Amino acid sequence: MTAICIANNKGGVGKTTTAVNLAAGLARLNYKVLVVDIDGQANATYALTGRVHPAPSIYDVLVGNRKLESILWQTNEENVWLAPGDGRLQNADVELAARPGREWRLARALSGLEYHYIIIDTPPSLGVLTQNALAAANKVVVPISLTEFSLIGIDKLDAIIEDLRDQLDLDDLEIAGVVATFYEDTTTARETWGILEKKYEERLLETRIPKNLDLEKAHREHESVLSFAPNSSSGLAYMELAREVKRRVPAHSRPYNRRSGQAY
Amino acid sequence: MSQRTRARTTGAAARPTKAADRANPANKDADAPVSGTPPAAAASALPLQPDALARALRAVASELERDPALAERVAQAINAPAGADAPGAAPARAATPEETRVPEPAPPTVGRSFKPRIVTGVADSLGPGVPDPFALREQLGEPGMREALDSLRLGSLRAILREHHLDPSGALSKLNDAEKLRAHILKATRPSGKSGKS
Repeated sequence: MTAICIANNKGGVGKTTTAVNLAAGLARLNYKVLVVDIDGQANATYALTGRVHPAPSIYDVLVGNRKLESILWQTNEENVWLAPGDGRLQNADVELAARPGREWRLARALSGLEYHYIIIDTPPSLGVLTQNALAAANKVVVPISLTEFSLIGIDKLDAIIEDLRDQLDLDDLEIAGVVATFYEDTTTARETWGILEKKYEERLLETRIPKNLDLEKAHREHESVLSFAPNSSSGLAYMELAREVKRRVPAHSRPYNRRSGQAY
Repeated sequence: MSQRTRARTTGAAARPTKAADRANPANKDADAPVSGTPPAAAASALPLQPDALARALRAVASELERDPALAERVAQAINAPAGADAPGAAPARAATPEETRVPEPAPPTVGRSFKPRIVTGVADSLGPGVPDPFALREQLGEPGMREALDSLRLGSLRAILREHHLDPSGALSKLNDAEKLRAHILKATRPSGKSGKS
């Protein structure tokens, strides 16, 4: 089992789109994938099932005492399961703030599950929920839209990963890849790409996800772009991203066991 | 870039046009100090209490009821086309049927572009995960099932075909035609020997 956290404290960079389509891509490579939606907007839940803020959800696992297995759904994508999110997660940071071991609640809930990959979609913040996702993950994939704004505050995510790695003894937690999303061949995009290349070097993934209406249409049809328009530029790019992520972050078949300090 | 486009993007729009100069003499010299009270400020300076406004409207209403000729003239003025009361315009007259006719809306076109809409999602009554079409048929009957399928989008319809082995060749599932998928699910879940007409 390998857990990948899709994180960026900036909103609108394609975290959910990447989580959904990366999961679908890995599933097409014959892996069994679980998507965990801990974003209070619950857009991954909508994109994979068409449901809007269902209950019970991962909120009841993180804040309540419900077993994770009792909320898992088969999604519209073959080999992709979902721990759905709902709007109550927007208050979860506050509700979890005073709980002991608050960063570990997701890791504990996932313990013992048997999937090849767990993809965790996070909210656009660096609060307790995102810390839970990072603590539960082995690796982080950071989607970045190639715009001027995307470079603001990107260092904060690096800093919090470093902090968590030290505080929680997560030796292997690191950014496995930075993926450029909403790519358009413009001067700004090329210049931003150049800056990211210097900053992240080999961690900048080769695959760039082009800006494409099919991504939006696929969300509307409650499926991945790999199902809706597999031969579109974004469909081909997400399939390529799945292959690249698989190479960088191989799947393991052992059950998830993060709390013990193991890598998987 | 065309001349017209350039004019739109080089600050020409920020300059007052000749038409605007005619409408507002103060625009003739943009650097000239503005004197007098702006119209909006003058209007807000008039004290008009709600009860006074109500009294005035009641008086107008009773005057219109008392004097049909006045009521007719007011009605004509209200129905007159915009600009008819501008200085130098012809006296108000009733609008002709041609003038008052509302143009018919353009027929809807089928475009390929994405059209946002209010999102309500799949109904909770369909349960979690991929809906079971056989259970839906049993619970809702053919009309209810048809309605339930109408509420599902391509992703859910494809998932039903896949999870319940209703498209063994996989050919149908590749189509982005929700209507065909719905029709096939209805047909494939129909008990054998039934025509399907309910």
